[in-house]
Amino acid sequence: MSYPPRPDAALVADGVSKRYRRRGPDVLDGCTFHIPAGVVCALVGPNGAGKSTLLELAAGVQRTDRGSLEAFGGQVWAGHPRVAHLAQHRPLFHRFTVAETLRLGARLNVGNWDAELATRVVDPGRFHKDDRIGDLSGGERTRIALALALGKRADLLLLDEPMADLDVLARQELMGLLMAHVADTGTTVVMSSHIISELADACDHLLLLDEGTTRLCGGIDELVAAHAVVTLPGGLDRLAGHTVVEARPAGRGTSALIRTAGAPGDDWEVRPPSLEELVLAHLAAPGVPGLAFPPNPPSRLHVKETAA
Amino acid sequence: MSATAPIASGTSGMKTPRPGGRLPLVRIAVRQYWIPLLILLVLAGRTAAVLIHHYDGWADAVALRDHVGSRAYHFGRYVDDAHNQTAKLLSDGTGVAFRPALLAALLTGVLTAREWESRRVVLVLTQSIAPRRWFTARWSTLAVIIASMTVPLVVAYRISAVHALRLDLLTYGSDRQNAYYTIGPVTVAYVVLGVAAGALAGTLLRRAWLALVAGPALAWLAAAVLVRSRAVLLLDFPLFSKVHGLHPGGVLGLQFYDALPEDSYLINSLEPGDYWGYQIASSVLVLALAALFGHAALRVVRHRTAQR
Repeated sequence: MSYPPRPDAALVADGVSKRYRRRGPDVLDGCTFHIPAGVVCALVGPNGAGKSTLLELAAGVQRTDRGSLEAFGGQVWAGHPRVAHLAQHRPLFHRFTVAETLRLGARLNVGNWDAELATRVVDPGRFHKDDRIGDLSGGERTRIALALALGKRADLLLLDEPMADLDVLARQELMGLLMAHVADTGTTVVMSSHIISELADACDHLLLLDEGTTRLCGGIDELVAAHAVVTLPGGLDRLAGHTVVEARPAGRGTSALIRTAGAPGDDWEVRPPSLEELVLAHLAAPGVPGLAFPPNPPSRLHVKETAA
Repeated sequence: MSATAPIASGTSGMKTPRPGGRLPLVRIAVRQYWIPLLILLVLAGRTAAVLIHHYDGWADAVALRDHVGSRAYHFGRYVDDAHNQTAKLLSDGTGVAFRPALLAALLTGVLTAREWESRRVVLVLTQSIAPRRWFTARWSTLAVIIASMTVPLVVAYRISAVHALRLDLLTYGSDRQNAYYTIGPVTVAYVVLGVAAGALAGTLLRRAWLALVAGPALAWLAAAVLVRSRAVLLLDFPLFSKVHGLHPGGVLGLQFYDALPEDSYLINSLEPGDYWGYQIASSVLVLALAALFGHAALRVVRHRTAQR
């Protein structure tokens, strides 16, 4: 059984697994998701969840052990002109100057290089022409690396904690520039971060990873609408039928974050969860089944295994 | 960071880097490697200076022979007699015969491994360029530059050796054979083999300190295996009209000229007319092995990254 390519999807993972050592644990374990084109997706998860690995796999820097990863309907590969990646450790040649690094970007992306955009990212850093990359601070290096990623004129930007090293002003300025670029071009962005509140303002899609698997994937509005924070008199038994993600006693009643399945009780206080509440509740409840919008098709791997 | 004038203030200030020029990947490699290559150039310059200086010594040898006669020159004991002059030529040859290949293996191994170890390779793998093209360009650049440094040394040595042989100034026996036949086009081929061995070791190991040892070790091992195989492959080569001389022993059938493994039985069987045939046949074998190593290194890259 095969599925036709989905041109509306920027990035599709089907049962992706990856481990670094032969007998080590799976960093990604059957990860499946679908990120539509044109969204700004927050990639969230605790340390070691596999976020950076997933971004590197999507950039083709590493190879999956099992499963498939597709960008714009085709397999991902290193050097894909439509995919740009900002790695967590900001790899740059330390002996190069800032100007040489931009020239490197132009030379490695011939016919695909937006010098004007790269310049707009670099300019506010007020670098001297002889400044070497090795002499720059972490935040300044992030700015240069981001200029290389944006200058590539890619349709899919994979940004691994892009704002981590930046001061507040630089963060605001670069996030503004990034969002303006996305609005202008319709570029798909997958952006990992630990600061959920920051992502909530910028992103319209969420991919939550935990222990190498997908816990939540979909539009943030859809995911929030599928959940509710309820406060009700009585115990957990009154939540039967709903999926309880997290619950705790609240006075004589119960407060819970649930995945709704039907109408709430008349005496319940109901409000939508914040993105932070949603993420934290799912991370605290590993046993709760994942949720994806649109629902993932059955894995091709699973189908093959069953057929075998 | 310097507080002096920035390269850009506003988008008009930054010079838009032009993508190309000719051979952009070669220019990037040269920009990165110029310091170690400069060190190699200094070493090559020193060896060339010694060779040129010792070339003048043949005039002293001629003067001595004219003074004491040919028999006394070859079998007597004088400062500039055939024995000492041949020993000096062989000593000069040790800097040419295999050391450039070992240095090429060491340098390529360390530079390649360092690129993986520091993960700067991620920067390149996420630009619009195939990894195969990137690595091929870098290793080819190193091979061409180091080979270009070696060629003048080989030419200088050959001029000296041919001059001495024509004037019958070399001692008789295996030293004469070694001095005349060992160095030539195959020396340059060994440099290419060194680069390929370093590329394979660096790519496989991804640790600079390991590659520092493994690169030269692999080059040496390959040369040793090739020499032993060559004894089988070339001994009955129809180009060689006569076979004479005795096998002087050695370790597992190998003898050494400095670090270079060689088969003295074969070397002792050669006559001056065999020089080019021997050199070209050996070079072809060495280059074929180098191509095999280069291909293996690219296979490792292909296996490690996602490629089309």
